[in-house]
Amino acid sequence: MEDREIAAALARGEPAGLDELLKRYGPLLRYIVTPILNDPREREECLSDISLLIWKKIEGYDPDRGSMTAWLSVLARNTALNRRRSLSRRGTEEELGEHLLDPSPTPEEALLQKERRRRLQEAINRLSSGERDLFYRKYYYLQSTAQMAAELGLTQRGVEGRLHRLRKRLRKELGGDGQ
Amino acid sequence: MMDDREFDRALEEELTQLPPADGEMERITPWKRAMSRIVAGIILTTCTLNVWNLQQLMPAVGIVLLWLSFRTLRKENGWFTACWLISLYRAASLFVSLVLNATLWGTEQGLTLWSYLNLLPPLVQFICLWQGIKAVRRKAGQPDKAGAAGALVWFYLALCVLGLWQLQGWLVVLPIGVIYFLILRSMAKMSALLDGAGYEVRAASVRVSDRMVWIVWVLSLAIAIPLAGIFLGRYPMDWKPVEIKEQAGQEEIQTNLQSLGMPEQVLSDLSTEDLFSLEGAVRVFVMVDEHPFNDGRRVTQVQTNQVRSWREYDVKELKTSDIAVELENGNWRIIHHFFWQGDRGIGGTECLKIWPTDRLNEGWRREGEPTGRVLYDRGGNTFESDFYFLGEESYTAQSIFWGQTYNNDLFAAFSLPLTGENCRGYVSYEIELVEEGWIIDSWSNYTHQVKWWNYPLMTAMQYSQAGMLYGGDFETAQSAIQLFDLWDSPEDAGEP
Repeated sequence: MEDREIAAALARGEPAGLDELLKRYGPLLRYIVTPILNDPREREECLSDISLLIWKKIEGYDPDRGSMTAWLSVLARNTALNRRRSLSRRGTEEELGEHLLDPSPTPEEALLQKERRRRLQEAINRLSSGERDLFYRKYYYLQSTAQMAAELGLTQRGVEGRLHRLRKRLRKELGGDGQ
Repeated sequence: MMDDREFDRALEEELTQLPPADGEMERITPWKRAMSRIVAGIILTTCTLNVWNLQQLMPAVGIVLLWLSFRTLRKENGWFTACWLISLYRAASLFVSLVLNATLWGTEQGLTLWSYLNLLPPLVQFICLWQGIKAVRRKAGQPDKAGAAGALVWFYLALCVLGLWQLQGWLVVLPIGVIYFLILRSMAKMSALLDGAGYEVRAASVRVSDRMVWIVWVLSLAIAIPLAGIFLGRYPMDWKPVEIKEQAGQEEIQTNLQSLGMPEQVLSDLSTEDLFSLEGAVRVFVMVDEHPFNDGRRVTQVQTNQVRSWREYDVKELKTSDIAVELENGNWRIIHHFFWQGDRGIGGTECLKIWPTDRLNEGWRREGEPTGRVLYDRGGNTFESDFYFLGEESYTAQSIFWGQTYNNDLFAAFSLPLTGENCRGYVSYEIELVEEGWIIDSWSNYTHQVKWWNYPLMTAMQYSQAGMLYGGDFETAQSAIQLFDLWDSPEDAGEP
C-alpha cells in the first residue's frame, strides 16, 4: 500500500489504513519519541496519542507538500514535547498547543519571532551537511550525545566537541546570545 | 546573556516552527549510513579494476567501509555481530595480503590455498547480512524478505564456482557482469526496503571514531607496505667476507690474463675456481660500456634549418665488461661483468639475463654449468654471495613484434645490499666449438629497478621475462661481446 493509499484509507475512516501506517511508520514514531520521553510507559501513552492525532488530523496531510515521514515526524515530535512539558509542569498548567507551546504572541512579539526564525533559518542554511545533521539531531530530535555518537560513528567526546563549536558558531551568527 | 542550557532550549523552541526539510529528515536515521556503506563496501571488495593499483585500493577502502558499518549494527542482532567479526577478519587478512604484495612472498605461488580459503568469509558474511536484515524486518513487524541480499549470496556462490573452474572469456564474464550489476542495484534499493523497519535498529556506541579508524588504517598501510618492500622485497643473499687464500699458480694465471688485456677489476672479482678455469688462456677480447640509469638532461641545438634535441647523460652509473677468453684447449669462456660506479637507488631485485652464444647458434655448445658471484665493499672489507638464482629458465614472453614467444634463457637473479659500495658481480660460462665458421655472440641484459614504488612487487627477473627493456619501474642496460672474424688469422679477429 502506498502512502497516498494509506492516507486515503484513513480519510475514509478505515482502521486498516491506520494499522498499515503504524506497521510501516511505527519504528519511526518510536525513534522520534524515545529520546524525548525516558519513561517507557509515557512513551507508550504518547504513541497512543499520536495514533489518535493521526486518525483525527490525516486530512491535514497533503502528499504534494511533503512526505509522510516528514508529516509524522513533526506530529510525533510535537506530541512528545507537549507530553514532556505537561509532565514537567505536573499538570498544573493547561496543555500546550499542538505545534507551539507559547501563548499567542502580541503583534510586536510575532514580528520579532518572525525575524528570529528568518535569521535562524539562514544560519542553518550556512551549516555544512554534517553540521546540519548534528544540529537537527540535537535540537530537533533531541537525541542524546550517546545516540548521536553511535549513529554518526563518533566518540561521545567527539560529539560534545562538535556541539560546542556548533553552539559557539550559532551564538555568534545569531547575535551573541542567540536571541 | 543566556547560558548554554537556555540557548539550547530556545533553539528547540524555535525549531518547532522550523522543521527540517524532507530530505534532511530522511537522512537522520540509525541505519541509512551503515547500509549505504555496506553496499559501497560490497561493490569495492568484490568488483575491482586492474589499473593504477585499484585492485588493491578498492578492497582496502571497501573492507573498512564494511567494518565500520557492521560496527554500527553489531549490537542489533547476532547476524550483524557475525558480519562485524567476519569483516574484522577480512580486514586483518587483507592487511596481511596487501603487505605481502610488497614482498617476494606475495609474488610467489605459495598462497593459492590461502586465497581459496579467503573466498569463504565473504560468502558467510553475505549470508549473515541477508539473515540480519530479515531479523530487523521481523523485529519491526514487517515481512522478513530481503531478496536482494539473498540473491547476492547465490551469485557470489556461482562466482566462486566459476572462479575455481577458472572459466574465462567474454561469454562467461558478460552475463556475470550483468547479473552482478543487477544484484548491486538491488542492494542499493535495500536501503529503501528498510525505510520503515530500519528505525528499529539501535546503533552501537564506539570508543574510536570512524575518522580515527581511517587514519590508523591508512597510516598502517602507508608505513607497512614501503617497509615490507624495502626489507622483504629483496632476495635473501648469503653475504660473507671474502677469504683471501693464495693458491699455487694463481699469480701466474693472473699475470697472464692481465698481459692479455683482462681488466684488473674483473680479474680481482673472479672466484678462485673461475680464475683457475682460465689457466693457459690464449686470447682475451674485452668490450667495455657504461650505462645511465637516470633521466639525464635534454640538450637542444638550433642550427640553420633544423632543431636537434637529444638527451645527455653526465653520469653513467653502471659499467659493464663483456669478455671472451680463448682457452688452451680451444674452448672459450665468456664473462659478463658489471660494476656499479654511481648511485643505484633503493634497488630491490636485480637481474642479469644472458643470451649465451649457443642460444641461436649451432656452431657452439655450452660446456658445464654457469658460474658467478656478487660482491660489494663496506668498511674496507669485501663481501661476496652466490646469486639467489643462477641457471636456465623457460618462460613465455609477449612481444609487439613477434607476438607470444617461448624462450629459454640464462638468468642470474640477486639483490644488492642497502648499504655498501662498489657493488659488482659477473656471470661466466664456457663454450665448446662444434663447427667452425660461427661467430661468438653473447649478450648481457642487466635489469634494474629505477622507481622506488614497485607495487605489487615485480621482480627484475619477472620484468625481464615479460620481454620489456624500458618503461614501468625498471630499466635494462644491454651489452654484448661479438667476435665476427675468429676464423681469420688471430691478429685480425679483434683487438685484445
